[in-house]
Amino acid sequence: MSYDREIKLFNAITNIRDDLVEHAQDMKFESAGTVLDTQSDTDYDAKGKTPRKTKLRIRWKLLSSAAACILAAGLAGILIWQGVFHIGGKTGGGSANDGGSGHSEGTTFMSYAGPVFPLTLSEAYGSITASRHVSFDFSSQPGDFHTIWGSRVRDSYVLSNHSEHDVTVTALYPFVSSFADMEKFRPSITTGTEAVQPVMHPGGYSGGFTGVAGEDDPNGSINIKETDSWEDYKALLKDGSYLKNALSSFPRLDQKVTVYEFSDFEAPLEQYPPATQAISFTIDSSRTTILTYGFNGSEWHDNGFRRYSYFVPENTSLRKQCKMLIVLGDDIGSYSLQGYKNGACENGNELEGVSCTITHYEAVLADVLDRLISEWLQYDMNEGLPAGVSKEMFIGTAAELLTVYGPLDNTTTERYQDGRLDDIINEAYVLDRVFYLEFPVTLPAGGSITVTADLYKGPSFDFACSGSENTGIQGYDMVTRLGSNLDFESQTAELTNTELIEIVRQNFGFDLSNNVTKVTLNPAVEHYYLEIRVKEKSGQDQ
Amino acid sequence: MDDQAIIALYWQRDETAIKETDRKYGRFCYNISYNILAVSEDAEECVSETYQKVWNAIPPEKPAAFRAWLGRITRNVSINRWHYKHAAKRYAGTEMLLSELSDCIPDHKTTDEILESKALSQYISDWLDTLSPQDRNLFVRRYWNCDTLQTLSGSSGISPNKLAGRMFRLRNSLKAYLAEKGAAI
Repeated sequence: MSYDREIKLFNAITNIRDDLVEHAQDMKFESAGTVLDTQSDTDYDAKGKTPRKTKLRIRWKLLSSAAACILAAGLAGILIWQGVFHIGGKTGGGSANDGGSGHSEGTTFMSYAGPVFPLTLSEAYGSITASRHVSFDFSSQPGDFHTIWGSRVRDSYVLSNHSEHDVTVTALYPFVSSFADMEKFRPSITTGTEAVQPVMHPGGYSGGFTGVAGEDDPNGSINIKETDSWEDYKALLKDGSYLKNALSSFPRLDQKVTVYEFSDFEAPLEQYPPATQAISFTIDSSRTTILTYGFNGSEWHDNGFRRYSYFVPENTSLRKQCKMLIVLGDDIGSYSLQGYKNGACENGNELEGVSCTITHYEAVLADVLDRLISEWLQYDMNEGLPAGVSKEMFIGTAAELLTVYGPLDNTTTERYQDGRLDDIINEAYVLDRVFYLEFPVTLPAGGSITVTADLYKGPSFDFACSGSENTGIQGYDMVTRLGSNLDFESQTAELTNTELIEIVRQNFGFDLSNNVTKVTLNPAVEHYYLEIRVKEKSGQDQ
Repeated sequence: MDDQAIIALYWQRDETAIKETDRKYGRFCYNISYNILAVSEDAEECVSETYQKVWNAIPPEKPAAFRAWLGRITRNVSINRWHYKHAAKRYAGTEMLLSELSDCIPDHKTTDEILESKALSQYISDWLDTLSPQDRNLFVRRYWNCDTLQTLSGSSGISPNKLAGRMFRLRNSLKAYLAEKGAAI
């Protein structure tokens, strides 16, 4: 292969200015992330929903539930503040080429909402073709005044059957969400004029994990690395294995386990409100795996010594009443219990009068997880699971997270290797994934039918407090064929109710100033993006 | 020894100039060459050839930025050797780097001016000026020093996957910049 033009570019790069070369030789990279205070190993990511961890040399974790709630609530407040007061109301300079993190396929936003995906079928049918029309509606919502935050999307398909027989196919409509955001983002599906009740299939966690920046493990896995570009989704979906996995049954947790369940807690809580109880034992970690629920601290030593501790619960705080140690493999044998005045489980800090009852029994792990999720739903989820999400489905996704990333697998992700089922259950709920809505569509011989998905699409954005020049810009994107086996005859896109917005960057070809709000898409282009901001209020509006 | 003192040695035709150059920048030159050729012996030969060219060039040259100037000679010598041995399909790393660079080449339009290398260098320098310091340095280290993503990952603390994505966006950004300028290659 000839590389003439590449060599010319290579040679041109050779002769860039001296100072550019010199600076790069002397550079000291900034950390890709911030190493947090190692006294507490949990913080929260910028979305305020997934814990972000720092790596500790000594495995020690102690986090009061109340403090976590306050922190999460504070960050949620920041997001609300940002959504209401900053995003959408501000304008700033910007063009397709001047975004700091801009590139020819759109800005890489700090928070990526994921694209609008195309419909697909459970299997390809050569006799079926599709025409697709996607519209983004930017009308303000009631009570929204002059702020646009998100778009109503109508993703509509005319499916045509070119055969001489009626055909019933199984259609699958993908969308990005978490269980936590399900009620906001779940599309409603119509075939013809009939609303349908699809069966929902959750895919696995769509992101990955990363290490603590600045340390010597850039390939570590203690922090969440969320999917931050459409290319990430392309990598996830292109070979079809993600969809196949989403449609298959959940892993079965039929292992026998030994459970140590704690109850009847006693402690001088009036004098020592943070009174703590710890259980200590030594295991052979090659033969025993420990999962926990309801514990606040843990300490591991290389010789197999383990200490797990919890704040003694009373009835007036958020401390969990349910506390379990779940032992896989060899039982732990003898153990010791010790009370402490607070979470510091160390000599000189012991406290008398701390006690509990430990019930010791054998069970099947699936039953234990079922019981703990019931407890979690009662304790953490006053409103229960979102509509359309069964408890069995949620248990299945938690089991999948535990199996794929948790300590049941030899390649345990660092994030979950301490076996805290509280984390695994909670993160099964909040982590983004691709869901598939499955429904049947019957196409008459030689005829066609319209299938429509109506959904709310939140924007991609940069955080208001970040100082990014993209603050105030909302990103929306779609993919034309990723993950779809449909034969598209045409695809078009349209913007509606655009009075309040202006386009900052795009590759659709819309031209609002000339009323070009409907465009034909090039099927060879896999990804289309649109970045908008809300117009500044006119004097009349004010 | 500072760079000006080394250059003074060349001007005095003092052969210790080469020893001092090697002591201070030998590893720097070797890394560039090795990143292109991926064969230790070839890289060492290229570094030796670089020193010979430096000896012949100074005087009359008086490079203001000695390290960058030295690195440029090393790149030229090494890419020439790569070109010469390319038929043997020995240097997969450079093929990858060049194929990455193909992402930066804008599509031809009939009205576009085919740029001279010097003008192209100026455009690339101007484009680098628009980047954040970190992106600028990462691009230079990848495409000037020819550092691998693994090496860059080690020094930056950014995972190789994330770096690959970042480089992809930078290449597209350069392509868009060159296209906007009507620059053809």
